[in-house]
Amino acid sequence: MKILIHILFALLGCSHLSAAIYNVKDFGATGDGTHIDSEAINRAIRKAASGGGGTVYVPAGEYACYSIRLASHIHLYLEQGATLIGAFPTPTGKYDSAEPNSHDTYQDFGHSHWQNSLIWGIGLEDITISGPGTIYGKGLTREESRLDGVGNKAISLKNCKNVTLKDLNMFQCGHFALLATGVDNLTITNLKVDTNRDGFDIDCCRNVRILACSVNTPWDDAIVLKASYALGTFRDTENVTISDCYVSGYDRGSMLDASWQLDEPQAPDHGYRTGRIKIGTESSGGFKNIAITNCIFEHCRGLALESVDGGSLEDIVISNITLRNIVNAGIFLRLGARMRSPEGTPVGSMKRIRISHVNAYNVDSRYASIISGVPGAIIEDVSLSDIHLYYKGGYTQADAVNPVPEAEKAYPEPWMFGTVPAKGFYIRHARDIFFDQVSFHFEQPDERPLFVTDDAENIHYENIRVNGKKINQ
Amino acid sequence: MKKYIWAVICFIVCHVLPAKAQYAGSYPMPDGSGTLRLGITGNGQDRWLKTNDTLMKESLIIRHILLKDTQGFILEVTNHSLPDSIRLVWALGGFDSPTPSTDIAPETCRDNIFNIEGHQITVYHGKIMHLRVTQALVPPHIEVRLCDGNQQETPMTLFTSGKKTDAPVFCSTSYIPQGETVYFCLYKPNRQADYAYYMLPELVQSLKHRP
Repeated sequence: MKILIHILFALLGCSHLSAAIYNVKDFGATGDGTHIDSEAINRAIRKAASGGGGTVYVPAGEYACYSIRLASHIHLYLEQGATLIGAFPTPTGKYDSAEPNSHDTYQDFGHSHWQNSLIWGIGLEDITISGPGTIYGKGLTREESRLDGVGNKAISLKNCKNVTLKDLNMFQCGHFALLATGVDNLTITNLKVDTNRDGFDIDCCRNVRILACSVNTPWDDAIVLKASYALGTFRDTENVTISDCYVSGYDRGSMLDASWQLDEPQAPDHGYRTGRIKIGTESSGGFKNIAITNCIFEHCRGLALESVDGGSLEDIVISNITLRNIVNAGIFLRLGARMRSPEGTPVGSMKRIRISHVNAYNVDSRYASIISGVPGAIIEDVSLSDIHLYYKGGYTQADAVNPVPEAEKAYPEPWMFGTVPAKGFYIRHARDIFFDQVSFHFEQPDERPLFVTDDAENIHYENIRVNGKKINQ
Repeated sequence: MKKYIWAVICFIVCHVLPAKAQYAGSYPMPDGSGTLRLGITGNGQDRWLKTNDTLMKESLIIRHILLKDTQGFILEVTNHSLPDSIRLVWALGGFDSPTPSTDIAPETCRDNIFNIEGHQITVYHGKIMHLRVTQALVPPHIEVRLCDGNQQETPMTLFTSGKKTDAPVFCSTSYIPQGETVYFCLYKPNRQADYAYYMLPELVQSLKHRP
């Protein structure tokens, strides 16, 4: 009798579990890669949400989709062998229209709208998208088309809380693999992303964990923290950790298929492979309490910290980073005055930045490394310690006298300064910068001075080495 | 009646004559930023279309129509009698040419970056901080490849040349069933000129009827 009761309870338990799982095929999805399955998936999501939530299960198969609309308390699970494929728009098949945003002049079209995406959610809570399956944004655009019905993001979230993205593969995802704007308590873990523009754009978000992800984005930034004005208010991106991640700029698609190709060195902006971790460019709000640790950069641009639209970038700790084959400045800190923010916004600030235990090998020497504010707005209280920079070298005395434009309003990239007059660090409009245990190595002789400073106060050097020899500064 | 005759004359002057003038089989952007080059392959043939090519008079009907809202053109290609065994080969390149050119010179291809999304190809060219963008819409294709612009002897030489190059050119082959029409469009995108491939037949009609 006792056994029977146990079996009965077990059966009841099983039936309860199965009731919380909504297989998209039960809602009409075909998974044949041809029929549009997004409406079936949306039916499953609506059904699950109407019952208080649950797991929407996507079994193996190819699901051609337009917009999938998330709901609160939904776990969208992509099984091994399941691929959500973004379909190309047609006269009758379209992604959801971009919703109006009266603040869209302060950032690009891609940042300003969320609904024109393959998967989107606005004002939701308790969402998980996970599983070993793949999101392939085949029909999404990375370009600037504003045609109604065009989709340009793989996953897009606005004003959500308690979100987890886990274990997914993402390929060719349009403007962003993930745009998270105003999302609090966001965890992104074990994603492999190989895409044709940005990987993760974490914009105006609080309490974010990005962990153990591999992101290959030769044509734009891999993991980017932003603080745009897309929500119509100044909101910081804060309390973020990026750890144990790999970012790179191999040819598109060649990380995911593990062919690791390097035949296409140039990026659309003509600044060579991108694929880096960056803070900025959109920076109307600020960046606070950010830790980046145990990360690897390869065949991409260097580490970039930028505030150019009025935001305060402060309390940043970056440690245990290894970089190889870097196509521009190894380390680039820029406080600028582009001011793509509501009129009257003052220039921002950059301070309390700690960069330590960095090894950067085969770094392009043209821009060396740069710390540059603008007149009247300085970068302050930065320490760089236990750093090895292996530059290619090869510049001459003539390059040491190159004038460096202020370019206060320019889009921040090292190229805005042209060839800088220093071979190690160029420092301008800065104070309280501490270098300790910093070693420079040059593959070829470089006749420029190691450090060049301009409008810089209290620049402190300790234990500086060039090609292994300690020097007195 | 007089009005009707004038309309026909205007149409011929604006559309038919320019189309004949383009019998070179190669179509540059008006400002030189990019050239579309056509060829054929199959049935023992592998060659670029040339000036006054008999094939273009007899088998392929090609009309070149300038866009009104931006710089650029649409090419309307109808297979009148090309055998099924022959495919159309098309190449896009030379986006840094200072002037319109019917050749795709390798030196004008350096750092041309191509992004393909279905029927749409976006080309980034120019110089760093002075970037230019040109858009192309292309017909259904079998396979599109990044190729070596230094190897253009024949369409298939280019198509099979591989992507390791300092002169990237985009190349593909398209099958056009007899009696069917496909479109190419090369243009500078702007707020007014934001097209998708499926919009082209209607756009051609509107351009034909626009004064």
